[in-house]
Amino acid sequence: MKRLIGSIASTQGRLVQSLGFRDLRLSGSIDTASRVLEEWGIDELFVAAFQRGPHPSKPDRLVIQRVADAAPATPLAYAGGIDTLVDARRVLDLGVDRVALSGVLWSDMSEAYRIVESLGQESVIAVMHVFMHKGKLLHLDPRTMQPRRPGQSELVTAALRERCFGECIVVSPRTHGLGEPFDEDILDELHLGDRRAVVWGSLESADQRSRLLRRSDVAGLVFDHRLLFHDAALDRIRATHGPDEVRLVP
Amino acid sequence: MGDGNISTCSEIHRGDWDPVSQATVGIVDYGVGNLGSLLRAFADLGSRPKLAADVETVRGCDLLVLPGVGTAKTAMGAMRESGLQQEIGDRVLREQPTLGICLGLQVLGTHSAEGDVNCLGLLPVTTVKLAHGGSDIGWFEVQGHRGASADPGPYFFSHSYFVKGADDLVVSRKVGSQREVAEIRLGALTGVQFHPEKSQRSGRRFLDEYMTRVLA
Repeated sequence: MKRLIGSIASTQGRLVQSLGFRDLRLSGSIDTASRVLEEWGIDELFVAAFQRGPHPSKPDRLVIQRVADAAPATPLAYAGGIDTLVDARRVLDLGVDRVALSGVLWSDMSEAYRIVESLGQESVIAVMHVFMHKGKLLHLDPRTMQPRRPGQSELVTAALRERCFGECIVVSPRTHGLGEPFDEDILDELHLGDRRAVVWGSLESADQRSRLLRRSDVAGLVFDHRLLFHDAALDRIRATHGPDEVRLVP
Repeated sequence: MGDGNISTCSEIHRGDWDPVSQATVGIVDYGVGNLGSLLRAFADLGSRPKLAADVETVRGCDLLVLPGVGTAKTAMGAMRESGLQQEIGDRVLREQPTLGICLGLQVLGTHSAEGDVNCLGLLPVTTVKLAHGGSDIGWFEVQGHRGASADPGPYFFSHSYFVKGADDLVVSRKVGSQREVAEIRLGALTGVQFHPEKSQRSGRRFLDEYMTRVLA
């Protein structure tokens, strides 16, 4: 079964909606969004704590605790400021079940491997910020949103293909939250293999959602919480795809 | 009862004992593990969960839980260092309820291929890598027999390894793929490959039934 995942995007303790990863707009209550998504039986919650600037910052403990308190029985993945094994262990103590790495993949791959060796590959997700430019896949530095050098990109992509991480969340900041469809060429270029990619995007188009859920390399979709609230998308996707493809919640 | 001993627990068993709300649940702290999630899950059921990182704390628990998340090598290293390896073995010999979740199930076996490490040897199973070499992360139904929980789930799984062997002890298997072990029981020892604490209503029902069964 493919997973339908709700994103809780936050900055400085507030729930936000991201428009292209540049503009963050306040978007309601973290606690309410988390609680309601658990009540609706979302398959997993993905908390993304947006951090700004080139300097590493630490995981947002308060946001983790609030989400974990509001949705205690739902699998919880967290991204934001996990740069060391110590960071990873601390967020598990707070109620996170799987950690998502982004900046450390570029700054210190050996530390990323240490985290995998300690937590297990299934508990570590790699977040890839990518976009297509003139038919080529380009990787973005998650802290600056500037393109990375090809050599570094190949190192990270090779680690993903070799199954060093349990999964990869693929996001295209240039279209994310801007009402544009996710560029599916990205998945073709990444060649991640069977059920390894989780797509994080606006995903407003029902046709695209169906196409993505039917791809063999896609394990799940991460939805903006606003889409799930305002469009009743969760029910419609479940109704469209049925019990063989997604989990139905009575 | 938090810092009590076995006799204290036995006295309570003889009285008006509510296995779910009165039990002291120890969550083994081996340095990794989704401890926050488990503490919340058992508190939500009304029990009294606490972290157990030393022998004395383990002895005072009505139910001991070996959590998931982490690698066998890391978990075994921590348990050897703290003396918990011996204590958990003694506890199982005394038939005291012990639940292994995901990695917690795998370290109950004899050996894990994850880091090529010898484990607690309390269940006659070994841990091997999933055939596809990756991870199975998601919701799967389980098919039970011989006294398994009536609820087929689905339950949340997140694993790259699974336990093999002791078919006569297996009470349910994951539906699909290679039908890996979902739940296995031996005396007071239960191991589950899925995460009941993260399986919403199905998980809550499982934990409620489990605690009533083993602690009543």
